[in-house]
Amino acid sequence: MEIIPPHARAAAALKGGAGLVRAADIAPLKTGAAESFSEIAEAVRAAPLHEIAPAEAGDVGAALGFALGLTQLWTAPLTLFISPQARNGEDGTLYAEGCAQFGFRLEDLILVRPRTAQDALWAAEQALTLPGATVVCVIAGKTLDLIASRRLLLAAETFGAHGLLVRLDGLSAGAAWTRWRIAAAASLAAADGEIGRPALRAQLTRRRGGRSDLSWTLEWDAHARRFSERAAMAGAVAAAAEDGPAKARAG
Amino acid sequence: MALADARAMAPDLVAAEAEPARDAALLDAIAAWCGRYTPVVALDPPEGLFLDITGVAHLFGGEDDLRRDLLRRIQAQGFAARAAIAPSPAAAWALAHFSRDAIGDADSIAALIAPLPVECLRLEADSAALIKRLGLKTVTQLIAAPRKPLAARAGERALQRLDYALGRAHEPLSPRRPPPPVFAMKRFLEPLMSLEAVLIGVEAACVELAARLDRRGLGARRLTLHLFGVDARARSYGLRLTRPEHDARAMLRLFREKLSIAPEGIDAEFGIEMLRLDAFETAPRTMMARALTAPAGRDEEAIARLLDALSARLGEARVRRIMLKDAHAPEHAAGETTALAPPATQRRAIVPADGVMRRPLTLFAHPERADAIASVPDGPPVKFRWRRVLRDVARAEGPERIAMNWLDAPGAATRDYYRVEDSRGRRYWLYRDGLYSERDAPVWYVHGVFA
Repeated sequence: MEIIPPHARAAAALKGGAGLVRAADIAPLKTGAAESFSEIAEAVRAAPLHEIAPAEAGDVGAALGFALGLTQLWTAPLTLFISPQARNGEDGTLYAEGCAQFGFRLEDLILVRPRTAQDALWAAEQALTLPGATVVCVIAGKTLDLIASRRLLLAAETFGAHGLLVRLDGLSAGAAWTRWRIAAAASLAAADGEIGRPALRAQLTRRRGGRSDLSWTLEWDAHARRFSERAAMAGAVAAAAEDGPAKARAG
Repeated sequence: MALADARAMAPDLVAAEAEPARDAALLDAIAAWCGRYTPVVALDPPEGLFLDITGVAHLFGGEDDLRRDLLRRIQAQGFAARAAIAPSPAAAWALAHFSRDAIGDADSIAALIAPLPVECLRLEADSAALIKRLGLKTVTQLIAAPRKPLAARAGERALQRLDYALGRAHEPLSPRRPPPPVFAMKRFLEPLMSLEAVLIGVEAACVELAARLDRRGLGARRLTLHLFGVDARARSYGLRLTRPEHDARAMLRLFREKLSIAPEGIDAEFGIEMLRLDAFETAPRTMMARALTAPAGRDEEAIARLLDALSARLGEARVRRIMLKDAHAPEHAAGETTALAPPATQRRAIVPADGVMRRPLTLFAHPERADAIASVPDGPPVKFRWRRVLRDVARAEGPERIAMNWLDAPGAATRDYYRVEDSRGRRYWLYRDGLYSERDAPVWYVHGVFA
């Protein structure tokens, strides 16, 4: 299999040096036609367990956005967002109005705030036994070790559920099928100085049985409820202008 | 007798002031302790309790053994007590206060009460005085007296008391806790010390309760498990359920979660001797209708089971639905409810046409202070320091002026909200607390983070 090394500049940027990083500075990766984000999204859709980590402490918002965005890959009877109580002080709690503007159906969303990380894992495992459920579990620390993540994987596989583990500590435990590093990215807007649609930089750092070390700059389309790959940076503004205001699609 | 007279007769008398409130609290505590015998305990202040032991006596080896057990335990705790068992509360009261016989059944009760003085009927003071003046001293005489003239003089209530005692009329009790429509009790031969052993007992109770619910075609939306230990401490564990439950296995699973996470464990220091499982909010089961209306692929029953399990172990306050509310203040525009209730109708959410979020994905419960520098006094910040990191503002949109509701937050200043993107692409929701006209030095807060 051919391995394309990550673009040096992008990699440096994502490592999060002290330097100023603008998404616009990061040149697009040569990912090849076969590895567009929508294809990877299909692979994610088919797999039961994924790990998402913020590139830096300040990117938690982007990582949560990515996780919530990925949940929309599946039509789940219930989406559970599990986040230990202590994290809520640090990262804030999901805000109903923001979630709604993100395109989320609040009727199908359950927030779980366990006291400890152990309880969070227990809740995640329980939730994954609901056939077809989507579970986002925010977790930090060593509680989520290989055994724990294998248990989650087993539950998800057995019951056809999908788990997204948002790991805040940079640790990772093996069982996930894909692993992502998410950084914030500057948004694009039609007018100068305005803020555009949610944007982030997603780096695929591990993928079972497939090429990893790929990255994309993604924009969230709240109407279609999916991520779209931002076109090559040079043409991005033009593309954004072309898109115009997103048409309100059904759903 | 006055205290002075009493002191004259007994010089070493110890006098203590009456404390009716504490006496009442003690009586209530004893009533709670009596929950080990029956869920229906009524207070009879200042010093009496009624226990409805219908259908539970067999657990203790019969009425006599139950009474003996009760007295032994109460006396062991240092209380003097008398107890009697009778078909009606009034008759039991009469026997407990005035008779040597402690147990009467429907056939013998009239004969047992007959020789007792009329005071045993708990008559009101004036009708008691009148009846005595008439020369009626015992219940027998009262029964023999012509009813109508007596009622005219002593009052209907006096005769009603008599009817209560003889079981001719039903005397309603008002229990200290609403009695459960269905309950199951288990008594153990030996105190159970371990959680596993207690769970076996809970399982038996669940099976019995489920069978009782089954017989009536009901399910319970609320269950309360009481564990009664040797140490006389009451332990109660409540469960709420999304829908009427009648499956013993499901109940047991929830209690297993609940008990294994109870803060200090069940703390069965000296063992658990008895348990009682109460079912409340019983409702007819509605299983078939759901299957017809639910969208395909959506297993409502599995969802309900999951939410029950999560709520049982983590607590209802930790398993929530979030919803939109009609309010301007950001803190009040979103609310949450228990996940056990179905989603309430709420304000429709509108996704902005351009797909740009106007509200953050996460909100801090307590907005966090930030030190911001604004180029113009009323303008957006140019730089701000939050969580010890200085952030350069690349772009900012605002202000969106939100005045706090004076009802929710009296005296709160108007807020100017800005959506801000820093040079690294991170987006924040900042606000300046107070207009320049309202406040000299503006204070900035970070209220939320965008995706």
